[in-house]
Amino acid sequence: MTGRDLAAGMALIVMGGAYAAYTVATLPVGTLRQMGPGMFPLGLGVLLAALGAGVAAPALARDMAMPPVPHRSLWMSIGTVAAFALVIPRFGLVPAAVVSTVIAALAIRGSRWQVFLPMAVVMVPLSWVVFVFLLKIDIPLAQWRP
Amino acid sequence: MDIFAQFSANLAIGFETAFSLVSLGYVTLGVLVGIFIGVLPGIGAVTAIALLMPLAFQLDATSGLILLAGIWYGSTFGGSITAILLNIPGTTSNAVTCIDGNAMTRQGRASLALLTAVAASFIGGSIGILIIMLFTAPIAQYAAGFSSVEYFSLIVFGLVAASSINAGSVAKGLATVVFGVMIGVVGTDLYTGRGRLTFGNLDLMDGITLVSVSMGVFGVSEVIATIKEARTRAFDRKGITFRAMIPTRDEARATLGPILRGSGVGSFFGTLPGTGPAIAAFMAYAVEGRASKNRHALGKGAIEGVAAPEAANNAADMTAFIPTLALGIPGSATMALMLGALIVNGISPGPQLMANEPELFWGLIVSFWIGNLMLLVLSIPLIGVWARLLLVPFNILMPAILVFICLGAYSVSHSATDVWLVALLGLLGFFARSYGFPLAPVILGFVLGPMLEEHFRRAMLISRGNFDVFLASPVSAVLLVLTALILITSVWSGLRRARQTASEAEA
Repeated sequence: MTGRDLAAGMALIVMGGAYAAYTVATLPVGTLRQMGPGMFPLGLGVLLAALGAGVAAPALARDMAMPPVPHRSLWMSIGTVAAFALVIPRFGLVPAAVVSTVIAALAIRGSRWQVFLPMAVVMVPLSWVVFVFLLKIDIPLAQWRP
Repeated sequence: MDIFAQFSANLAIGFETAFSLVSLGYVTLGVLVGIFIGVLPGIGAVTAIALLMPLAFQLDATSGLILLAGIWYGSTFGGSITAILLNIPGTTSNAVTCIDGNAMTRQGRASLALLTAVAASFIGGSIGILIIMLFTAPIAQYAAGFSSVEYFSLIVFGLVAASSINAGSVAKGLATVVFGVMIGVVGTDLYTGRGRLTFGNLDLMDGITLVSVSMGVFGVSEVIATIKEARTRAFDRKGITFRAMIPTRDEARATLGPILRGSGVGSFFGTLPGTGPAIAAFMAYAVEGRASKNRHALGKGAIEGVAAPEAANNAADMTAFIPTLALGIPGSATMALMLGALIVNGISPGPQLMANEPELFWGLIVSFWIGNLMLLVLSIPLIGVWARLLLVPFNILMPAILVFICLGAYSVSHSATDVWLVALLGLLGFFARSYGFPLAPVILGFVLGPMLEEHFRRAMLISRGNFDVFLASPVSAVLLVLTALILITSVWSGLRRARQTASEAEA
């Protein structure tokens, strides 16, 4: 009893259930006549869980292969964004652009220093030109606030 | 006569807005970026628009929309270049064009196929624009009398239609819509001022930004999927010359009927939620299979097989704006992003948009036409350049795109939370994609979710918690019945398909 849709449906049930439970725990639900802020989100969580059951139920009868996970490109790409989120508020634009470009380049199989060092050199000035110079977004180039 | 005077006065406003230097600049930029993105396989129009959203946020509403719209119809045309030359649809709208377009390339008639695509796109786009001008005002007028009850049902209809028509699985399509609404609800409750589902995070009190959602769900997940598939491509550049483009008189005549039929089919399917340019192109091809005099040649490099779908997808690109501009209810993810760009600029979409913002509406319409004209001008002389773009090792572009996604998300409000959300939604988006969930409904649900809730709560206040109001209004009742019909037929056809594949597996 394994399979793609079964896993996906279960994940939806868990997500919908958690969303509904968190809503009930933090917000007044009210009645249909006097709806509280929690009524609509509660309905959404329940609906998502129900749809999850709808995804999982037909999958019980058949076996579907789990899709392969491209670990390298997946985690390096997510890592790029996460590293950027960590670095930019603390150290500014230049360190964030360098760190994220290097990690992003690692996502491509077989990429070497010869490729991504020049790329980091191109990306940093380019991101400055586009965001700071053209769009006039006020981001410090570099700072020290660990 | 009065109507005519009104119409030409409106057009004058439009030309005044669209012919300003600023607007012309943004049309050109949008169309160029659009063609570029369309030519690069793997990156779709939604991702391109998501990438340029932060830029559009810095502009006024009219310029922002002109820019984003240029990317939208530019990419549809750009995608036809890869479809014809490489047999790879640059965007989903060009999938059908591959059949005859690439067959023509293999026969050494690539230039003619490309020119046909350009001409058909231009004529289809122009017809679509004409239809927007004719139909938006009457629809908006009719909808002016809608109350929250009708709006609630209209949004439900739009969301269900967009997520279940053509979705592999209805439950999966609806689940992605509901997920979109769920993240759209995060933030301050309008009625009580309480933070909802913010986990105590102050940044989340203002809600999740559209840029984070679109960049995460589409941008990051698309980059991950594309890196996986990255490979270099080669094609035969022979046969792409200026002279080979010129059609014979017979060939020119043969395309006229398919272009007009394709434009009609495309204009119709463009307005419906859930169909859009890809299905429009497919339907136009199917219509040619029945209506064309040359139908036996379809599939073997018939010029009709390029003309009809390319006219249809560009016409559909245009008419997709009708529900967005007339009702404020987008029918696709791209249109939801356009609507988001309006809302960010403080313009409330809906039937009053045309009356309140004539410069925006008519300027946009005229800019569409200039953009389509520009496609014609930019594509014919530059076709060799666009074709050469295919040789760029675009996997090098992927890391660059990721860094721009981060910067773009951060630039909206200098908030690292926004970037963390991109990472989280990118992860979810990638898994959803590989587990067979459609992603576009997330954006639709996210943009329409808050409106859906507001109309629902208002309707419940008026009716004192009685659901009968939704059936008491005829418009609302008809919409809900249609919604139910769509659900029933989609579930039914899904079951039949499942049974078919099961019996095939046994055989």
